[in-house]
Amino acid sequence: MKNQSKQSNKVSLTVPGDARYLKVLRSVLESVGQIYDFEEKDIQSMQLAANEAFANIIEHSYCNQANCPIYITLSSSKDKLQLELEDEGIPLEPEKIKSRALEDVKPGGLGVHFMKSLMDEVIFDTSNKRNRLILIKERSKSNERFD
Amino acid sequence: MKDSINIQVDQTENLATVILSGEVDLYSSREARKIILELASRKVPIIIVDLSGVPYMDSSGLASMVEGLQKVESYKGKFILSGLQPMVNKVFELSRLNTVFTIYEDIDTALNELDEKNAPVGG
Repeated sequence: MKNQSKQSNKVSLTVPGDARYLKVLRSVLESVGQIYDFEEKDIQSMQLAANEAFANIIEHSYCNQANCPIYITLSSSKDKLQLELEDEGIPLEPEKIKSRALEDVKPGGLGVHFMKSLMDEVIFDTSNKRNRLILIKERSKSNERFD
Repeated sequence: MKDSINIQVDQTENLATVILSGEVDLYSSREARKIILELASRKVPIIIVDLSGVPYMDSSGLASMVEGLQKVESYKGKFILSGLQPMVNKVFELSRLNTVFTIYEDIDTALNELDEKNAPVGG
């Protein structure tokens, strides 16, 4: 991809697919977002979308099985923040991944809705052995928070 | 590992207040869910969950609140939220659950509203 040549900053880490590591993921996103001067609104959006994606991997891809790896790659550029989450769990079926209808009020089923609402791009990639989810947030031009 | 939220429950005969402090996610929401559902199983007439100490909540936290609401409404009780911080308010708006829950600015306002609604008419 041509755009990759513009990405000068990349952080990679592998963590267990364990809900206790959600806080680690959010902390990394906050720190890296601040280093590269992303606005708080963008960082918070990425934190929530990433949190939902990570939780979905734990619950649906790894079925809450302990100690399965999640591979995290965070890239930042002048224009965007990009997060890739990879796992080796149950193969994704992108056509079956969808949110519940918002008017059908019941517990759960909102993670994908949050990802798609908050991100500029959400890409499910099943072209290699691992499931790969890519979240892209373009840099905001205005300075505002979630309030 | 210690849960990353603190939960304080105060209960009188008809009212329970659940004060949550900390980030509510897939890990930490389990304890909050357990406590809320335990109160609901005892059919506490009014449950107020105060979120003024919660800067962050994900969809698992929302799911716990929805579960609490539905259990409490099943016995005609009241399930009330108060003190939503901006990020938490955002997730309620994104999911449109802000239109489903009774939400007050803070716990004192919620308690005052309940007092007024329960005050005897006339006098």
